[in-house]
Amino acid sequence: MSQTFDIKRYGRLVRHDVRSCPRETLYSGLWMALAFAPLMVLSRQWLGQEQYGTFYRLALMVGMVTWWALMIPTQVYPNVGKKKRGIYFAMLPATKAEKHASIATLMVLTVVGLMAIGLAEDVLLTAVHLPGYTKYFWQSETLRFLDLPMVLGTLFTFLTAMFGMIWANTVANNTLRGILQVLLFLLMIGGLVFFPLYFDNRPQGYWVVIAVEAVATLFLAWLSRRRMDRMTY
Amino acid sequence: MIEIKNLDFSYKKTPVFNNINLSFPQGAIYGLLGENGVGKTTLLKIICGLQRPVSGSCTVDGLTSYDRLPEMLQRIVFLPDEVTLPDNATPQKYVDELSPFYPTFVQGTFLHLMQELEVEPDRKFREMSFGQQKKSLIAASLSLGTDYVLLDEPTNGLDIPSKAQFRSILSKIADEGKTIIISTHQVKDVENLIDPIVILSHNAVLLDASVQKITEKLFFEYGGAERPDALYSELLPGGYMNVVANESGEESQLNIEALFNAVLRNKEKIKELFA
Repeated sequence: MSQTFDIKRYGRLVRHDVRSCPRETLYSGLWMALAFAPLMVLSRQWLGQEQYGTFYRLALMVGMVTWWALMIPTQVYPNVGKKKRGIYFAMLPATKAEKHASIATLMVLTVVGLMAIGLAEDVLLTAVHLPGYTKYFWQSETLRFLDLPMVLGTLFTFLTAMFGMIWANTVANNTLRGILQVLLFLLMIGGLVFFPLYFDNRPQGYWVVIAVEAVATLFLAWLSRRRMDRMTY
Repeated sequence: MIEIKNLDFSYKKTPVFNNINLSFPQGAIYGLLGENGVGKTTLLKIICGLQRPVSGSCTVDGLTSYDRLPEMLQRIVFLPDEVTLPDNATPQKYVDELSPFYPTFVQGTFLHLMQELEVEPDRKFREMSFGQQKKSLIAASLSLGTDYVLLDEPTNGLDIPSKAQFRSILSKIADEGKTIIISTHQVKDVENLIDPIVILSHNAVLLDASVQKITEKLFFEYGGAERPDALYSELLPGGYMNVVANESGEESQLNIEALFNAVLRNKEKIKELFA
């Protein structure tokens, strides 16, 4: 078997994580994330509406992404970034690369699952003709959220989530350093969300958004991998 | 074999180990003793690869611990003092999740150990007492079939009959050639079980010797008067217990608590005796 990445071990780890996650999450508030999912999905539509001011739209988006980035990982992998509680996961016989890949896989599955629930809810609300509800998702022939920037934006959110989870132990303490790290974390997410929106109405905006989100995603993936490699318990 | 060579370790600016050397050949139950904060748990974590040495090396069967390669992790199991268990799971579900990673896991061994420790494998952790949870984890850890078993304060929370069962189970496992390292303050719980004994002090290893060697070098005298040449004396019902240098070569019954106190109070003398 490969010492760095073995597909069988990775598969075994994903199965293990899938089996152990629901038990952790069902009893610790995943339902909150599920309830929030449609709101997050719908916000994609609200953000496009002209009647909302720029500040409101951006503040909402930053809030959503930050909340998502912090909420999901603490539910899906509550212990991985923690000193004592993380020992169980650290001692599972798999490489650090396989563990990182497994976390990334589950983050993607979880967020995709939440979006699917949001979509189903959207379809249901549209079907029952809820007063004032006008097909947020199905406005055009194609699903708007399958736009490339949106997919990359979602991918960026997965990676931000993973980053937040892996660094949770570092940022979640009450020291001045910890507070500064939390602020830096929020600023980083906020900045990365704001920056593409600056190009929103410019012709080159589409590609700038793609480039920025792709670079940010790779950077966060690298940071979280580095953290996993160097983490001690 | 676990080998620690010229190992330095510190938590930021607090040094814990300074150039220590230790080896744990297979097939014995090692007792890791020391005062609070000397680094017993840290040493176990270094062996498992959960902490990174500042310098020096720690290897398990030639594999560097900190790399935490699957080949190494499959050979070693670590049971920390505090474990957070999924409330809604049962011990059986717990091993079902772990066992695919350990080709040496035997379900029959798990059930046998659970039966011996009198815990139901299908009862939820949240319905168990702390002692029952601990016993479940001991059974799960030992049934994985790893060559090395590292236990941190394993008898905490166990009742008196369970401690006896625990000793009996460990003796059987050591007879199968496994290496067990027990870090504990409860030396009475593991008396007559651990051999060799490793005593850690601040930054260093004070003693690393088999029981036979200890009783060759030290004499444990019971029921006499207090001796001025004693390395350690303690008044017990029936007279003093003295720990003295064994100059006559007579055999005596080891008392681990007395040994521990004697070693801590006479660090230089002990180093000379066991050099």
